[in-house]
Amino acid sequence: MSDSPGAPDFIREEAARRLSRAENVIFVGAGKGGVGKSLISALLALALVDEGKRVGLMDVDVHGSALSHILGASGPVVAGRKGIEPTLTRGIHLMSVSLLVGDSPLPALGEVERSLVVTMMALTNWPSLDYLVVDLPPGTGDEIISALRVARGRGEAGFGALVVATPSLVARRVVRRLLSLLRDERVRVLGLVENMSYVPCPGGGVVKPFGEGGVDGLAEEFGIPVLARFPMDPRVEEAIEAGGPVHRCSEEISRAVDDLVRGVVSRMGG
Amino acid sequence: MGEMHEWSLAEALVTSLSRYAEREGISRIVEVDVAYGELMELDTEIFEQAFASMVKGTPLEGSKLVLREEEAKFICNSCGHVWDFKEAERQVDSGGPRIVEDGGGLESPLHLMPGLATALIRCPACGSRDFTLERGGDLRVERVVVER
Ligand SMILES: Nc1ncnc2c1ncn2[C@@H]1O[C@H](COP(=O)(O)OP(=O)(O)OP(=O)(O)O)[C@@H](O)[C@H]1O
Ligand SMILES: [Mg+2]
Ligand SMILES: [Zn+2]
Repeated sequence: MSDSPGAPDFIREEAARRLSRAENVIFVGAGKGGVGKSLISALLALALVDEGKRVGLMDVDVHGSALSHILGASGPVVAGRKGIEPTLTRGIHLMSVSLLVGDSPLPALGEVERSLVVTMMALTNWPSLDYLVVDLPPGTGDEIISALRVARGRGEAGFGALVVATPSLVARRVVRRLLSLLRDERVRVLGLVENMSYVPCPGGGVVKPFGEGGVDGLAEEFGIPVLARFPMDPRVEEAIEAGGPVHRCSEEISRAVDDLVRGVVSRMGG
Repeated sequence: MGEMHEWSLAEALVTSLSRYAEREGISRIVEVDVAYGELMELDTEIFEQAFASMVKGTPLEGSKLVLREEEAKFICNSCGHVWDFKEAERQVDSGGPRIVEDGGGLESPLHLMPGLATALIRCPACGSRDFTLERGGDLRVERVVVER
């Protein structure tokens, strides 16, 4: 008999096991704040449900959680012997700290923040899923690295990232950092999603507040495609407020959503 | 506390240790020492029962499970006040969000995820949410005794 060193971190391992209930895990990040990560995550999840896929959506932004607002979901959450049940919202299995604590501020640093993300992943009782979409917070901090460590165990297959950027010069420069990180960490980037590309004008025509060219330069630099371009469209928030189908709120949004789903599904192989 | 997270945590523990034994070529795990934070309000009887019901046919069959509770300690980063589990319980008992258990009972999310503490508790002296949970919020394997 002997003491054995290196006992497993079983919470982290459980997080990875539960993640593997999803055939495909898609991280949605940007590095930059406020460019539309949460909105794009929600639109993607809604559209995948329409395609008949079983879809989970996890919010790992513990400080600035927005998904429940976009989808109009609220607690209380149900828990049982198998853990915490995701809340079924418009066909999406949703998990977010805001379902657990509402809109209370949640200041958390370092180790607490890391363990919060991992514990949430370890306790969520996902059903079998075709897609698990993971909405990342801005930056390249603790939550992202924790989620990445859990997810990378699955290897190349069934794991990819979408990077959201606006054509703004500053946004592109900040987003570049996340792209570099993902490249260094050997995470497969499925493509860029350009948001706020243009503003559709009533009666036709468009305005491009950030000029021409968009995120094409970034796409070229990193050798990745631009999967979809979303307009800045006031009907998005109107639909959120009305509780309607945000992904079909306008023709332009709908078209971009279809481009995005096609790009994701074909790259993940179904 | 109902019996909700004891079962998922015990299952996670048994699965991880079984695979660990396989990986390391360990034929039998004789003892497992687990430290758990007071904030988790773990029902040790249920945890032991769940553990025992899952180890059959694994390298953990017949092993001894030792559970050690770790007292919770909070320190305010704003005023320096120190408080304990009782004060935290008093606060979450008096209100705040709830999780609905399978059986219909209501529970504070604090017990499932002690990392949520700053959203659910404030410093009783100054009201700040900027405090540190020094200990008593996590769960980990401290020691495994094995036979090769
Ligand atoms: N294309 C768009 N058209 C209209 N509104 C949009 C569009 N993109 C985003 N928004 C709105 O802008 C706000 C910010 O978007 P969102 O929360 O998705 O950004 P984020 O990148 O997730 O932010 P954070 O960095 O805080 O996580 C939201 O209120 C969203 O509804
Ligand atoms: Mg967001
Ligand atoms: Zn204080």
